[in-house]
Amino acid sequence: MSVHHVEAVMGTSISIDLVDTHDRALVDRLVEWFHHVDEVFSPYKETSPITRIGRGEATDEELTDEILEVLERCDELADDSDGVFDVWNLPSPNGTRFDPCGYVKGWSVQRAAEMVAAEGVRDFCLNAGGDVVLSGRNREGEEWRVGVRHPHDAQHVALVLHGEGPLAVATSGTYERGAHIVDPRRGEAVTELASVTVVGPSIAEADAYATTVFAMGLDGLEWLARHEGYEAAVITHDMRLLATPGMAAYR
Amino acid sequence: MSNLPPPTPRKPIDPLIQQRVANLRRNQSAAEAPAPAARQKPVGRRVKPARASKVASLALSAITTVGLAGVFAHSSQAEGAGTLTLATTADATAATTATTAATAGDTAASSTDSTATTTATVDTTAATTATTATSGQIADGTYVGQASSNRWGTVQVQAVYSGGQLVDVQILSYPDGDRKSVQINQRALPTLIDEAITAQSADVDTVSGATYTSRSYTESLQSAIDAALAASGLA
Repeated sequence: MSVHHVEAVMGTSISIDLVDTHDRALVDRLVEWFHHVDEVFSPYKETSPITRIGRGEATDEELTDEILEVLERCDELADDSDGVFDVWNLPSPNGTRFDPCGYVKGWSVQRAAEMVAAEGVRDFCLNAGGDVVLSGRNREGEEWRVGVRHPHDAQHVALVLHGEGPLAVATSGTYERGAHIVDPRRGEAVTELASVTVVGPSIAEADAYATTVFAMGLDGLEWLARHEGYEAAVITHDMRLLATPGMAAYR
Repeated sequence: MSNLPPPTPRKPIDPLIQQRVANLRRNQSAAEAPAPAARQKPVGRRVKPARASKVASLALSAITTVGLAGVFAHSSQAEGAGTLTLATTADATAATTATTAATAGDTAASSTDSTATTTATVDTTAATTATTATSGQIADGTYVGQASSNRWGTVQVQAVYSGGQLVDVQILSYPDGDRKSVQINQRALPTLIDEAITAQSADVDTVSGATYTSRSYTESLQSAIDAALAASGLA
């Protein structure tokens, strides 16, 4: 009794792995949800509400509760990160400076996980382009095992985390040695971090936090440590591992 | 996609959005005509209340955001590419995007140390009322930034200039007694684990971190999953 589906949507690949159910209709609803999110939140679509908001063309009717929820949370994240995570200050594919993709993906997966849990499904795994939500246990009735992509080798994992759900795991990285992100404080490219993995209760937050820590560099670990319930593991380009103390529980 | 819908009558929108849109337009016009004066940021908005050396993080905010754009770019590629694009290729594109944006000059960020210093200077000037427009150099002295509040409390710093250079940043107000600080004190800071990370082919249920994201890959994977489920009598 299980169902596993992979859907190409939102510019990525979303894997839906429901262990203790055979509910195809639920999978269909999840797929429908992700396509809905794509329609509403894609900055690539000329007529999406997000593009229209970025251009100042959106009307009141277009600002639905879900859009306002995302905007509000993005504002909180911008405050929380002192502007490092700021969806209103990004070069957007639609030519504006507004691109909430960095929050929307994790948020949509978190919503999907809540939809699955509401149906009484206990054991499942959702993976949206590397953003992972786990619940309960895996097919063998054991703790879920999540590989963290090796920063320099897409074919291998560098780290294995395990735990019983609910649990979210997000990883951020450029996977390019010598990324050209410059830290003006030192006048040199930020090359110290190859990838940042954040573990915590919500994938919406974990994803945004991983992106933020990656952008902050090693100082970001200290910032992350302020967030109750969230742990981080950082892999440096010279392949050393740094982690917040609580990460030990997942290794 | 040029078949835009007919223009709809504009209706009043949420004040928050209006403010955002106003900011957005300002940013856009700043990008088109990048005069230094047009780059002023909201006063005191992004002063980072950490070590004094972190003052340049004003500029870092801008550059890391550009970097974020690169990171985001790969998570939101135009869909339906139809060709097999490995994640590493997409990531390289993302990195290039970040580089291009960083050098395009539409943000305050720059790739050299000296310019970065200048950027920080400009930002700090925006947060004070220093009259330096005629001399082109910050007059020596101490400049007090406006108090900036976030959910944790109020932060205020002052900047000390000497020889036109920012030489010190002093924290005037910082929410020491807030929940944030308490949490930091209660938890040990991240530590370097004495462990080299190596590539491994472990038995895992799923993988975190961008892997392959193309439609072709997805379809192929789905068919493999379906085959595996069928072979296991689970389909």
